[in-house]
Amino acid sequence: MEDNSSMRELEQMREQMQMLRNKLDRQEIINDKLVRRAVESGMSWIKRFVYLEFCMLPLLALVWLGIKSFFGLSWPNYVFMVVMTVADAVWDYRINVASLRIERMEDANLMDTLHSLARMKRMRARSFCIMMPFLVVWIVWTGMEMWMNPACRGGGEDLVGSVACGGFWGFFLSIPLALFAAIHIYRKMQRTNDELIRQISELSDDK
Amino acid sequence: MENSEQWFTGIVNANKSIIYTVCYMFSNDEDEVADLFQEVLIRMWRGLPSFREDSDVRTWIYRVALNACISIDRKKKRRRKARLTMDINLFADSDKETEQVMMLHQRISRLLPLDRAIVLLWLEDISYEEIGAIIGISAKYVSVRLVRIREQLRAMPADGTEREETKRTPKANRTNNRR
Repeated sequence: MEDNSSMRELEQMREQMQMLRNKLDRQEIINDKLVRRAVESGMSWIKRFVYLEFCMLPLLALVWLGIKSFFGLSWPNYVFMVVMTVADAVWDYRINVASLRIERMEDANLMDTLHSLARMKRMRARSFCIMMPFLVVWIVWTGMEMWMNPACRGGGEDLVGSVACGGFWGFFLSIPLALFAAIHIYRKMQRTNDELIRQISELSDDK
Repeated sequence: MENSEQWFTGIVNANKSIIYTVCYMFSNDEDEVADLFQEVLIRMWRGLPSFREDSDVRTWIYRVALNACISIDRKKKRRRKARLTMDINLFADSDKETEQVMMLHQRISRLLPLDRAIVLLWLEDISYEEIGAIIGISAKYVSVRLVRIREQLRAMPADGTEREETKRTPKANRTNNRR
């Protein structure tokens, strides 16, 4: 009885698949623009992103130098920020190279693709866990230095003081929000990783 | 280069239904299908130099399409919106045939991505050996896996909605389209 029901369901699915094929055979689907875009796709978006990230680094260093002078922040704080940003960019590069490798796995088998994907996502989660504490330390440090700025403590009557005060309060108010967002993002990453790993182990264990 | 382009255009046109079917089964709406479709074409073009002409084109296209659908992060909008030349909407039309196709979509899209791939390949009458080669498992395990998939599908109603017994299944054991 069960076998008959199962066969009926399979037959129904085959019929539905045939209907889909018939419908699609009557459609054009492909157009010149699609083919052109594929042929002219050029540099992968990942490569473009990596190049952009590295190009932005000197600009960021310059901009933060200006902010440092404006708020009277210390050199150690500045160096810490630069080192943290460069380390993040380098680690990001490693993750993006892994992403690129996955994109190039056009004719790999699906299990290999999933393995590579899981590895890349683990790297991303690890990067997140390592960078977050450093970011929090830097935010608190910068906030404290802004607070120590006499212009801010004086109530912010001039432009520098107003901006310093605004910056200080902005930093401190955004910490709980940023922490909440960070935890939420991390948990989402872990859920995705766990799902991937479950799929791989299900199919690997029973080989 | 021109010859490659012509050959590429030729095989894409000859196998457009295969590509669309795979993208459809891994998508939730028209736009997603179009984006995936474009991504598959790009990967096919990039993979062309390594494609051996004595290999089966159909198997190669399935590999590329399934790899793309499984590995792409749908949340990242990376390219300009793609448009397919279609005068039907397999997510919204209300004719009898489309309703049947949507039922199939609803059932298959509830499976894990790898199981979805196995079912799709099986419904396309591809041999267990080939399915195993595409997925990366043995042919014997393909048949074992299909039995389990059939049990999962049997637990779903024919219209793809959840039955009571699956509603009681913890969320972690249910599949979804997101990655």
